[in-house]
Amino acid sequence: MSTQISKKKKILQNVVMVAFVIPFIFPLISVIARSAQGEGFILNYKAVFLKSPFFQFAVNSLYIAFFTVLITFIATMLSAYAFSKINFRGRSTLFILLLGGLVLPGIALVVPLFIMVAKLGAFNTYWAVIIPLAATAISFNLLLAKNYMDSIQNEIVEAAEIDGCNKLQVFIRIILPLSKPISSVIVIWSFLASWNEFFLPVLFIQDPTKQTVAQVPQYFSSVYISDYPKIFAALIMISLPTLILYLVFQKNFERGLSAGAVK
Amino acid sequence: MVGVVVYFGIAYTFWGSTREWSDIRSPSTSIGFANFEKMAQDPIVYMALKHILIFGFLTVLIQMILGFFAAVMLSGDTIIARNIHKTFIFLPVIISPAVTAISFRQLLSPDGEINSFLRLIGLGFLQQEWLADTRVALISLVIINIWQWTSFSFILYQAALSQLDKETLEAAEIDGANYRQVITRIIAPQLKGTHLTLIIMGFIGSMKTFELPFLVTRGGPAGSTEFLTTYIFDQTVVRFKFGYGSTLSTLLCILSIAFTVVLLRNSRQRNM
Repeated sequence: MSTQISKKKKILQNVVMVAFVIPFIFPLISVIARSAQGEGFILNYKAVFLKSPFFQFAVNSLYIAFFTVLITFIATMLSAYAFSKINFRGRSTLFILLLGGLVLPGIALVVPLFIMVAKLGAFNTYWAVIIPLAATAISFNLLLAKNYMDSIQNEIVEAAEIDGCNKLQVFIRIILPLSKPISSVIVIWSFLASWNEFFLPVLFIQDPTKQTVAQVPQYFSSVYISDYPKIFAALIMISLPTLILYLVFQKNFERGLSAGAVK
Repeated sequence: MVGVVVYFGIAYTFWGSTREWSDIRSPSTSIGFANFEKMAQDPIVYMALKHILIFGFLTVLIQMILGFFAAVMLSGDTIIARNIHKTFIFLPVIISPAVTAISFRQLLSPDGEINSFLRLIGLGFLQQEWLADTRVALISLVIINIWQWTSFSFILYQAALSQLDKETLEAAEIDGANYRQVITRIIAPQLKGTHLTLIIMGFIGSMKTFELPFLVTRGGPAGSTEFLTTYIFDQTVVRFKFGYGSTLSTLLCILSIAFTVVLLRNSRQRNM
């Protein structure tokens, strides 16, 4: 009797769960379906590849993403290590000041960024996009990474120091290998932030050949007519790299995010 | 380096807010606090603040409930294919706001997929002109935001659930607590830290929200989805009012910081 009730419950729970998930995937399915309308699936995607500068923009985006991830990763890991395992004066004050970046909206920095980019003569260079992207990405990643490293036992670090490791060696030989899950979070999160960025390239890069993937859909829309199936095909092409990256790192990513976010 | 970019930014923004400044290349003149007085009397600012509050409240609340629900459901082993569910819920987070915006602008059009879907499941009376109706446009943005960010609440709750003490839960069940009691009396109160994190992140997020209203509705129709961020963009990038734009940015920074500090203080006092 009781197994029957629990079986009923089980089925009910599964039905509820499926109903819960449908609204999350429905928009994605609709977008994929739309990308097959008009001239058809193959021709639409062919057009994205051949009639828009998709490849060139993807290379530009990758270039920006590569350096954003690199800078974010090095800065985040080193500072998280310092904040978590090294005692120095003003540690907590400095940490709070850095976290201040977390609450600041990027758009609020538009004017000063404009001035800085203009003064440095960085207009039309990728650095005008990379540096602000890395700067805004670091706060959130630092918070997660520091929380994660706090869970690494101090004894391990101390033991290594007694064995004659200096701070940098401890970082490279002990902290980094133990931080794989949080590393994948930082890589994915900063890659997402830069690959998905829409405004900084529009604001600071005028050269049409230097634009990023977020601009590809524009090639199929004009004032008079927009070729929506091709726009949607472009949207899917843009999202594919992040999707693949996420699926590859999924396990580590979820573990790292959990460990870094719980405190 | 972060420090330099961000804090130079804040200082410069504040300095800029006290100036009349119409060409970014020409020197500015000081006008004291006139821009702040102008802001205090600007009806668009109050409207934007109201929108941020409504948007923040609804998105935070609903995302927390949905995320918590999904985390509890998927924490046991009754659900088949849990990983597939997780992946589906998580996918929206990795999609670019620009992509989301363009897609939903089409899906939410009067003859778009969302309305057809509502008809299909017999909820045709819920059909709307989602983005063209001033009464619903903000709600549409709320829905898109929930779609994109529920998984964030979900993953944090999931992580917190996995760290709960299993013995307390078993003890409660032995004492005769039913499923609902276990969830509301034992599990939910123990996740205080996660609730707080989500509330803070959510409200900060709603103050920072920009791409969504900018790309989906352009702050319209008739200003019904104007946010402080879209207003700042309009003033600085479109109208070159750098001084006033900086004033608005200063307000936004002060609000975000004040909000975080107040919430953190409160929670600390309560924990003592």
